[in-house]
Amino acid sequence: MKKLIPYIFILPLILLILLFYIIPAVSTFYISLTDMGRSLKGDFVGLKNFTRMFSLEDPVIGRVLLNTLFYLAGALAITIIGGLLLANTTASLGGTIGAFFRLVWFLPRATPPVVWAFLWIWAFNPTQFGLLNMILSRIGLPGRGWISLYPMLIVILANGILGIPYTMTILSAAIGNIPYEIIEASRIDGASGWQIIIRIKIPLIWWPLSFLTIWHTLSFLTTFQYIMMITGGGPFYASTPLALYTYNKAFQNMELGYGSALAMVLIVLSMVIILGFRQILGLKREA
Amino acid sequence: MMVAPRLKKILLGSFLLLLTLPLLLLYVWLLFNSINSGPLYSLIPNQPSLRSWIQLFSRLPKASGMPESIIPIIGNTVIVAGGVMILNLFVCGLAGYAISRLAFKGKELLLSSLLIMKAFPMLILLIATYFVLFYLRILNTFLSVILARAAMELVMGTWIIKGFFDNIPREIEEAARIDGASWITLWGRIMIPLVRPGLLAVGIMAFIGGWSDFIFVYTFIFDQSKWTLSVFLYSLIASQESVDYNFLSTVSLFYMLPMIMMYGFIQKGLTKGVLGGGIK
Repeated sequence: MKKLIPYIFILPLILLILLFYIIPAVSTFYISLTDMGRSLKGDFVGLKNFTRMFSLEDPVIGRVLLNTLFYLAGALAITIIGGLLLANTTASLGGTIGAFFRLVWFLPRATPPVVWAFLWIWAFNPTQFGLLNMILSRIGLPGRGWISLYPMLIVILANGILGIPYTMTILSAAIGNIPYEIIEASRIDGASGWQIIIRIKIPLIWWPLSFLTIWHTLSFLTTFQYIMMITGGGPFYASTPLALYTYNKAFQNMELGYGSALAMVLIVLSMVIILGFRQILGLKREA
Repeated sequence: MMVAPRLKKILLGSFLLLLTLPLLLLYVWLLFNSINSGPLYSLIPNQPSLRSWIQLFSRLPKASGMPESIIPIIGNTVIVAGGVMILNLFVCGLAGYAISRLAFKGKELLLSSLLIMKAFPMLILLIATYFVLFYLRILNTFLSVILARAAMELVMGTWIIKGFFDNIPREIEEAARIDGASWITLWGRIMIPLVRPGLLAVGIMAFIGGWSDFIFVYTFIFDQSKWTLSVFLYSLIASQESVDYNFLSTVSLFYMLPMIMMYGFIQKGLTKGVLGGGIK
């Protein structure tokens, strides 16, 4: 009896892990080998879904993969560089002013996803109601249909900026932990501001920085809700990365089999990233 | 030499302000539109009015296919958020304790899989999750969203609670066990109250997760009567009828406010918890 007690304590956790991680992961693989559609029943078709993808039989898949790459690179750059920049500048400013900026930049994280998407849709609205067009008309410039003109740029900005609050918070803490003497000593030795950032601060916060990069790579690779709401992936797949394509194939076209094959690619990619960096994730468990 | 750092600070501050202005503008515009009657063409409310706020709580603006009152929608959102919170507190409170204090076979495996799951994005499994929920026959119920969202939040939650339990001295537990307390009493009466700050943080995080959820509700719920605020707002935005920006901003702000308050609360609670746990 006494031996059973620990298992009773972890039973609910195990059940939920089974139901929402293990079984879905196995099912994704199984469904990807079928032609499952709307009825949620499918016949076994072997690797047909995968050959459709890898032989580029699907005419848009090349475009989608390229989008994924651009989107990942762009959003990552904004999140990491933006967070680093804000953490560093607010730390140098210090006091109330620094805290004020950190507060404003925390707002996106306290904004529900739908509201965040709405802010972007609205800001770049093609009519005169859009914030950007309104400002342009005030200074005598014509408005434009920003979202259909630059869908990828807007999607990258919306997602990248959303990552900043988290990056900024963690990096602020990391920079705050750097002993003051180190910075002071290097300043006395004549290091410039840039040299201090590149040669001293970045190496000292290397671990949180790489953790954040991995974490956001996984997050950007797999979240699609903001893109779905802001551009819908369009026009003509112009802003559709793999995760959104997967969702649309499964739930819009109701091609669950093919969708699962696409999801398998995402799962394998994520596992490679996680396991490749297991050292970093496993050795230190902060954050 | 004395002026240079000051000048540098001013330059830095202005640069940061320039960078922050667009973001700040978005939120200020949201606020000003919600207290104006008629869409704004400038940055200052020209016809201040509480029209949209009154509309929000009396009768929603008429639009085809839209609900008439916000109250059931708020109720649904609270059910989902509260459900995720309660489930997560229960699951993480139990598991966090077991992982921190009890010895059992497979603990190492559980720990390393939790570590991987912490990074693993559950959204990739959405299609198969849909499939699982279909076989459990709980699609189109609040339960489906609550379970899925709780599963998404609980890895982090278990980790946090485990950390709080780790900080409690073992003597307290041993004294209670010598006094003859049963396992359930030990856990429920003695240990759980000691990690209250951790539970508070995990509970609020779970509540925020449920409150802000969009994709699960959007995918698993089909009936309009079960809409939460997120899907309601999304439907308003996506509806092709003439858009009332004042009302949209009001709904957005109303939806956002509890989250801001909870994040404010959680920051205090977390620091206190970490400090308190460290000292005692």
